[in-house]
Amino acid sequence: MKKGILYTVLFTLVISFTFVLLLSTANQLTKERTKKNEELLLRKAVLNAFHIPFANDQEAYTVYDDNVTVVKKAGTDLFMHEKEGITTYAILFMGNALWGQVRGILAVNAEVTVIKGVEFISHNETPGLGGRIDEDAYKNQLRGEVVGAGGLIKGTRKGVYDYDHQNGEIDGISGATRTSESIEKIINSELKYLRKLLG
Amino acid sequence: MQKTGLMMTAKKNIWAENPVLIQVLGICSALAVTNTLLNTLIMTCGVVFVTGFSNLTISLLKNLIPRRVRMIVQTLIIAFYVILVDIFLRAFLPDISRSLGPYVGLIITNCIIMGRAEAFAQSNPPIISLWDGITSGAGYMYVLLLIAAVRELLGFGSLLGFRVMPEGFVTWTVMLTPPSAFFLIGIMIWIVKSISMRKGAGK
Repeated sequence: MKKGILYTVLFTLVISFTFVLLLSTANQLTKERTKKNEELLLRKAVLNAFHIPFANDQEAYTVYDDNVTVVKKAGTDLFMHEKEGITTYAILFMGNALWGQVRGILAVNAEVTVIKGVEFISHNETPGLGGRIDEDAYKNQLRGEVVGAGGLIKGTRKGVYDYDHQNGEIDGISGATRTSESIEKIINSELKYLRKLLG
Repeated sequence: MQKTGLMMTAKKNIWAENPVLIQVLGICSALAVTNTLLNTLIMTCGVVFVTGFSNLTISLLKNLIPRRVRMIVQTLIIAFYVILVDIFLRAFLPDISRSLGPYVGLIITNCIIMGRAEAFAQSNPPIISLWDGITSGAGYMYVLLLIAAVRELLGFGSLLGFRVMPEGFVTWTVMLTPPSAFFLIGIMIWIVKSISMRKGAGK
């Protein structure tokens, strides 16, 4: 059956409206749950960066409330954790890697001389390659790392992860050089910014 | 008759005209997501769902869709189901959604879905179209799962994240890179073609 131009326009309009309506309804119905997931992800990332243990998702909420406070420094929100008189800070960072934005948490000591931990919240890196920044084996290189010359860390290409925490060096991921370089750049830029805030 | 039709469609989509091994479609995602089995499983479940339901919807609406906007409407329907999968993953499987990243959105560009919509759903009744979509997706799914199993096993020494290979096993980094999927698909096509040709020669 041949359909006229008016029918075509009306049909396109109605079908677009219907599907968009259905999608916005689905989005609205799951909005609260998605928001809660994102909030939980942030809390878990902060706790992991500070190296504060928690047993499950439910406990993550209470452990976070008991151990972490948010302080404002020069308009930036910093997460603060105090234990046995030692204060550590963490910052939510964002930066560009190979395929898109990387978001995560970087925790440091008050003097910004030691990285306490790094946790990634979201990224768009290739699963199995750049996406391996999420693996503990990679992140543990930075846990307790004393920053090197100029208060920065240096990326190396030795092919073996660097767990010497006194040399200020971390090794990149094999097959993901660009992602590794981007992470090094992002962390160094955050270290500089944190020194400015806390120094 | 109906049962034979369903069986024929399944056999055709899963084996005789397999979208990946015979039609060489959906190769981009076959290279990109097959380095871990879990990601591949979730992603291919998404493709089965989208192919099945977009076929069903297109078949139900086929007499109403004006010919001149046919493909735009098909794309809209496919995009609708893909975004639905994305919303579901973000709400109920946030960890998987995080690790799949942009690949869920890229289901829209999978040629198999558009191919089945245009070649089958546009001219067939709804139930058989749904079945055609599901079986086409399943044909794509098992090929990708086989590739992912080999890649994860050799690349990480694990299956579904569980360590399988012995302690001293040296992982094959090349298996984590997309070119390894090319080699594996090539080998699979070679095996399937050889079997088909042997069967053909036997007749």
